This record gives sequence, C-alpha cells and structure tokens, in this order.
Amino acid sequence: MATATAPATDTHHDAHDPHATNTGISNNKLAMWLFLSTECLLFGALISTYLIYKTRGNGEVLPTDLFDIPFTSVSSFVLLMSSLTMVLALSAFGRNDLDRGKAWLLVTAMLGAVFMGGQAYEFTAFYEEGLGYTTNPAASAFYTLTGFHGAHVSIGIVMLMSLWVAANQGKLTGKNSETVEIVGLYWHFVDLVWIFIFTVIYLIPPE
Amino acid sequence: MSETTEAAVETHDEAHDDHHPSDWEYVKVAIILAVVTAAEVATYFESVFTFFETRWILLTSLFTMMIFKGWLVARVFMHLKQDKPVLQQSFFSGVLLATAVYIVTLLAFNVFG
Amino acid sequence: MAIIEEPLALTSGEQHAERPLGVLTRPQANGSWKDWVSTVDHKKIGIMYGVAAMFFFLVGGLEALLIRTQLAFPENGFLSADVYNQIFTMHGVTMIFLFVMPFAAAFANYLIPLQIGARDVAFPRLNALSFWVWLSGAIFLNTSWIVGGGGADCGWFCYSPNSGITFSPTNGVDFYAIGLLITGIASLVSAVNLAVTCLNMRAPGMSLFRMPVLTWMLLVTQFLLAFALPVITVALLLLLFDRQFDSQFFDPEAGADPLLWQHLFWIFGHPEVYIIILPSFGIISEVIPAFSRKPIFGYSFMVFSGIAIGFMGWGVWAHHMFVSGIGPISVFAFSMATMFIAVPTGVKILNWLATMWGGKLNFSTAMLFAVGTVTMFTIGGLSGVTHSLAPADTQQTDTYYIVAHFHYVIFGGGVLGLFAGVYFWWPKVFGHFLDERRGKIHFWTMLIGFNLTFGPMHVLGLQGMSRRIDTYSSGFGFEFWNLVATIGSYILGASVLYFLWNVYKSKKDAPNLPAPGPDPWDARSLEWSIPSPTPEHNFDEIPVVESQDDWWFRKYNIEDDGSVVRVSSAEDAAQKGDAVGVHLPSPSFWPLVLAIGLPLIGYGVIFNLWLCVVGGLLTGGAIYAWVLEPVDDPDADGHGHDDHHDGDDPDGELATVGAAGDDTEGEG
Repeated sequence: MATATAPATDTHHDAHDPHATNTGISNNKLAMWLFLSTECLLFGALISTYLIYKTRGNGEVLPTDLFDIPFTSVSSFVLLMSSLTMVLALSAFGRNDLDRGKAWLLVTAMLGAVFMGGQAYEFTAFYEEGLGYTTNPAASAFYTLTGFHGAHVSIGIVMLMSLWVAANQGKLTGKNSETVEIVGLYWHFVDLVWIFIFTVIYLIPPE
Repeated sequence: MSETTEAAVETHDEAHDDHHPSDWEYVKVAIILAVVTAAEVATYFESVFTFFETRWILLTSLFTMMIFKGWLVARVFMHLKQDKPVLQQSFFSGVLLATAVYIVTLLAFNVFG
Repeated sequence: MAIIEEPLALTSGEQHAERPLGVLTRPQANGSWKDWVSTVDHKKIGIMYGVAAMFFFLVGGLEALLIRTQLAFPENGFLSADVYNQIFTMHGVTMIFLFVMPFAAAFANYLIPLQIGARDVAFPRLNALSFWVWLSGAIFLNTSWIVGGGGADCGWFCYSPNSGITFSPTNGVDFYAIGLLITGIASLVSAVNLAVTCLNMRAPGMSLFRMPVLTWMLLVTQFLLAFALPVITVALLLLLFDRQFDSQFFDPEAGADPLLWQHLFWIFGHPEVYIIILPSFGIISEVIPAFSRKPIFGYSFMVFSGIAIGFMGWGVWAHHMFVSGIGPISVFAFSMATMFIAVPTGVKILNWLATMWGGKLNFSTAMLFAVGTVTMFTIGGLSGVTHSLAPADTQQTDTYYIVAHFHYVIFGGGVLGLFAGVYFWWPKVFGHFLDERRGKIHFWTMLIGFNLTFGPMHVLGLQGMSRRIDTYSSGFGFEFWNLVATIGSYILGASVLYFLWNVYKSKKDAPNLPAPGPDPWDARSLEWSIPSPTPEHNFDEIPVVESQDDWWFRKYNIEDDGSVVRVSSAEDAAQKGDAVGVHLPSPSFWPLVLAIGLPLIGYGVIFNLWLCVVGGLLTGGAIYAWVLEPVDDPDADGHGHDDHHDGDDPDGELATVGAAGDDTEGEG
C-alpha cells in the first residue's frame, strides 16, 4: 500500500527508480493493478449472486420494483465525474501544482460523499417501501452488492482525505505523485464497478 | 453512435501516445462518458424504448455502451494506454477469468432463461 | 498523537550465533523475541510459517487420530456423533488452511527471493503482516473449541443449509467463517506480494525463463491464490450474514438456493487443490535433478504445464457437484474438462521420470520423499481420473473412495513433497543437516503408515462405506479395513513424532558434525551459491545471471563432446557472506498490531459489536501508524535509522542493489 511519504516498503534500491524493477513498473503500481484484478473476482461473485436471486422475492417486493432510474442516473453521473476530478488531481500533482492538486482531491472526495449520500437516500427509500436487508434473497443480494461497493467508495474517500492531509503537510509533491496515481487507480476501479452495476443491475429491465 | 465516438477518441489518443493526456483531453473523455451514460439511461424510457423492445437488441446495446465506458476509463483515466503491457495483462487476466467463471455459473443457474 | 514507532536499527554483517534454529534457539544478542515479532526478513518469516504450520500439523494429526480411533470398530462410542462432526470438520480445515498452505508459504517466503537473486520480497512489512494475520486467524479459529461452543461441525466444505443456524446452532460455523476470512486476507496479501516479487525483483539476467521450476510453480500458485480467495471470501461473508444478520442467501424456504454456496465454494475449492499441490511439484522439480545429477527434463514443458494446470483448474469445479442436481449438460461439460486436466499433470510425471532416467541416482532422504511424492501422487491421480467419469463418480462420490483419492494426492503428493523440501533445504536454513539415517526411518515409517491408512479406503469406498459418518454398522464387511486404517494412522502419527525427534537430535548433534557448507547437494539454483545458514543480507553481491541453472555452470562446464568438467569447487565459487553495510528493510511492530485487531473484530461480530469498534480502531490505527512510521530510506534526510557502515563501503557499492543499468530483458 502506498505510503504518504516516499514508498519505502520495497527494498530501497528501487524505492525511487521504477526502472530498477524488471517490468519497469514500480512495485506499488504493479501491486495495485494485481489487487484490482482480484477484486473482479470479488465483485463478480456478488453480481452473480444478485443476478441469480433478482427475481426471488418470496412474495415480497423486489429491488427492480423500486428502482428510481432518474435518481440513480444522477448519482452515477456524480461518480463518473469524480473519476475526471481524480485524474485532474493526478495531473496537477504531476505538474507540481500542489494547490490545484489538493483542490481536485477534495472535490473528488466530496463527489464520492455525494454519491454515498445518494446511496443512503436510496436505501432508506427502498426500506420504507418494504425492501429490508432480510426481506428476501433478492434484497439481501442487492444490498450486499451495493453495500460492498459503497464500502469500497468510503474507504476511497478516507484515502483521498488522507492524501489531502498529507499534501497539506507538504508530504505530497510532484516527486511522489505516484502515490496519488495509485489511490487514483483504486478510485477509478470503484467507478468501473459502478459502471457495470448501473447497467447490469439497474438498467436491464425485468423480463 | 458508439463507433464514431470510438474513432474520434482513437485519433485523439494517437496524438498523445507517449505522454500523459492534457487536462482538456480528460474533460473531453468525461463528456463522452456522460453522453454515453445518458444514452444508456434513455433506453429505459418510453419514448426511446420502442426501438429496444426486442430484448436482445436492448441487452447488446447496453453491454456495448457499458464496455465502451469501462474501456475508456481504464485506458485513459487509468493510463493503461501509456503504461507497459504487463499492467493490462495483469488486470485483464482477472477480468477475463471472472467473466468466464461467472458466466458458466450463471448458465448453471439458468439465469439466461 | 502521532504514534510513530522508531523501527529497530538492524545492521547486517553482524555475527549470529553459530547454528540458529529459529524460534527454538536460546535467546541471543540478535535472537530475542522482539527480533522475531518485529522482523520483516523473509527468511525469519518463512521459518515462523514453518514452525507454526508444523504445530498445526500436530493439531490436525491429533484430530485425525481421534477420527480413526472412533472408526476402528463398528458402532464405537469413543466420540459422539456431534463431537465427531466437529473433529472431522476441524481436521480438514486445520490440515488445509493451517498446515499445508502455510507450510508451502514457508518455502515460498524463504526461497523465492533467494532463487531469483533478491534481498527480500517486494513488500517486507506486508510480508510480516501476512504471517501475523494468518497466525491470528489460525488461533481465532481454534478458540472456537473454548468459546464457540465447539468446533465447526459442517465439514470443511460447510454445505448449506446444514451450515445455517438451524442445523449448526453453536458458534462453531461463525468461527469457521471469520477465521477463514482472516487467513484469507493473509494469503491474498502474500500472493500479491510474492507475485510482484517474482515479476519485478529478479536479479540482472534472470529472465522469467531462467527462473527455477520451483519459483515458477510458486508464481502460478500466487496467481491462483489471488484469484480464488475473493470467491470464497464472498461465500463466507454470505454465510456469515445469513447466520448473524438473517440475510436470505441460503435458506431454501425463503426461495434461496443452497447450490449457490456449493458453486462459490468449489470455484475457490478446485484452484485450492492446485494451490496445495503446485508448491510440492516445484520442490521435487528441484530435488530430483539434484539427486539425479541431471537438469530437469523438459524445463519449458514443466513451466507451461504448471501454467496450464493453473488455467485449467478454473474450469473443473463442479466435478465436486456431480450428484447435486446440476443437470446433465453441466455434468457432461465438467466431466470432460476434468479429464483434460490430467494431461499437464501427466506431462510433469513423465518429466520427473525422464529426469531420473540415465541419471546417477542418490537416494538421500529428500530424494526418497520426492520419489514417494511422484508415486503416491500418481496413485491419487489415477483414482482422480476415475472420478472424472461422471457415471463412475456417481457411485464413488460421498464414499471412502473419495477420501482415499484426496489423501493420496494431498498427503501422498503434497505433504511428502513438502518433507522432501524440508530435508533438502534444512542445511541451507539452519546450517546443519537433518540426520540422514533417521530421515530414512522417518520416510519409510511414514510411507508405510500412510499407505496402510489410506490404501484400504479405496476398498471400503467401493464396498459402499459412506464418508462423513461417525460410525458404521457391523455386518457390512467394513470392520477389517477400518481397523487396518486405524493401525496405519497410528504408525503415521509415530512417524511424525519421529521426525520431530530427528529435528531435535540433529540440532543437538550438529556441533560435532561437519558443517554443510554452501552447497552440500551440488545443486543448481542460486540459493546454493551463498553460505549456510543464509546470511541475513542473502547475497554479498547480487549475482548477474547468464543462463538457466547459472550456479551450476559456475561449478561445471560442458565440453564440446558433451562431457561435464568441473571448473570450480562450490566453496570457491560461492559468495562468502561477509559483506557489511548492506541496507536491509527496517523491522516494524505494526504488522503484528494490525493483525491483533482482526480477531477482535471477529469476536465482536459474534459476541458484542463494541468489540468490533475496538478491533477496528486497533487495525485502523495500526494502518496509519504503519504508513507514517519513519521509512528506512537512506535518501531521506535524517530519517529513520542508518545502518550503513560507511567506513567499510565508502563508494556505497554494496548498498545499491541492482544499480542503474540492470534493467534486464524486461518480462523475459
């Protein structure tokens, strides 16, 4: 996991020079990509569980009965834009433009928080319509999938804010902008998962 | 529509092969993403839905748009285009494995009717 | 309130006591317990994995002896049905997750950096974290016996709806789920760590296709772990949520499908068995060439068949489910796929035999175990092929025939291979040999005990004895072979105790025996080019690799007429191990602290959610402290410790490992 200071968890000879590694990619970056690759298996299992259970209502309401597509479209758009602001943050740090970098980090975190707010609102609305976590298999699967995604977003927000704090302490500069890049990779991946969830879970209408 | 935007993105990408895209490039990609998302959402609504009434047309279109968005995010925002192939290989091995394994699982549960 | 822990300053080149034996040694200047709990050295971590895994081997072995004692006689009352269910469940869980996997991890941790010519793994602190998290999960799982109302009783495969609250009302299954979630985190982190290490930290000239077969097999294993663990993570979470939070994932009455568990579990479970066996395959691919005095036959085939096994292992999982109602199309597809996967494994077996063919064979203990691995695995593989035929499996499944199969491949293949590795690398790790004579007694008693225990199970299974039952009625003809199996199991247990006696006695006798030197077996890979025991800094100088089996070619030359000529003794060609001023990663306590937080969260989920808060704060706090602790970066001004002895190394040559310009052939 990238540190807020110079990445030092690798043996020091390649701590700063990515070309000292056989692949030419730094250890931290390669590790993050491998980790994200494994997350595909995690989310794939959760998505599959939902797809298997999505019509199993046990006589109660189903998630597909309650979707508010306009609302979810807006929060999807918000998350999508947060990917833009994330890469703008990285771009700023790369140019050593620390003020812009910090600002974009903050915006990204806030957009993520807005997305989470949207999720919270959506879950509350569903709950009030009779779709609780334990109502039926479809509900359990839906909330677990979107809940895990939301947990990933939340962890991302924590990481972004940690980066912002580190930047304010002068620990993040153009030289170690790779740390921002690696958090960014995680953030984009979380967005990628939502791109998938939004289409497959929300937009595909029941038969 | 996705084909022409795809081609437009390609020519822009070519111009930025060796160094990072500019901020404006990123914004352009974000606009494309927003437009494609709007198109996806549009399929849900009455006025547009008539074209997509046949389920397989709907699903194919939605999946194409979704994959296009994902590919853009991975390639441009996550810099896969500029990075060494080992990263794409590492990442897509997981994507492909997950896709294969879970499609087989879903088939076993007759999810595809 | 920054919690910044000053890492302990470690200098290398310091003399260790003569023959350290890891944790069991007397406290020394550098061997105090604090050294071990804060270490990030891959070698110490490997030793800790090995010792802990061996302890759990005894736990699982005890559980096995309890099983066999109960089954020695029909309608035996030694264990009640309920207790029997717990014992056989925990036997499986312990042996797989707390013995075989971490024991293989011991080899992976110790040897991968050495075999690729590196000083440590890519992420030393994460490496320590993996060990401590695994250990805390292992301990957590076993506290089930004390505070969980007993062990899990659902079988290691824990099928629904049996695993739900209705049929498993104690907390045993919760401990199972959370315990395996915790150990799963450890393995996932380790898998990413070791994969990055193999891909990124090879010495100059060490292209991927010059890596030893063991490193290759371990690399494939890491990818299997990385991709398989998330699947069982989801399965365990769904199970836990059903039990703790009343979700509706596996309750048939709510419309859920218990088969979902089976699919998710076996999508993990099948790659898991390759995770178990590939390290052993890698080990014997090193041992057999050394004691045949020939290179491995068909190196590329060995590598590609390992990769093929890794790929194909994902396509066969439902062969564990042939009779669970998945339908004829699925059965057919998975049956076909399972038959095909025998092919790459067969390639390996032929290559090991071809390596031995025409070689100058030395049946050392390690070689005996390696040959035992090949033969016993072949037997287990053959029964496996019979399972792949779904119609045949319909009779075999859920009988002792299956129990025979998997013990032949896991124990006969996996465990015997691990013991081959133990005897082979012991001198490298500890600086003295394990006694050969006692080793051979160990081997033969283990082999005989093993075959007496599991051989008869083929017969019992085909005669119709069910598995997973606490007893059997008299009059079915099961009595004789069950008794033989029980006697065999006691012989097997005795052989393990004898092994431990060998460990103890060999250490005791070591001061009076000649030291093994760097390369006692005249072997081929880089770890034999440095002193025994391995110096803390591994290599004085990172080697520049010019070919496969580079170390062997520093000792020998192949003339034009094909004859092999010695060009140097091992002692002359080996590195001396006396470099000083080599920069090593600093130790840290935070991995341990983080690891302690996780079982607290686990207890919290089961007993009281406030504990989750405590555990979460500990874990989260440890993460921040870790990120913020001073780095061991010599370029950072005034930061952390500085263990350079500049006087000894004024040009900083030794401190810069793999200096600029060592970018090798990239991915090779």
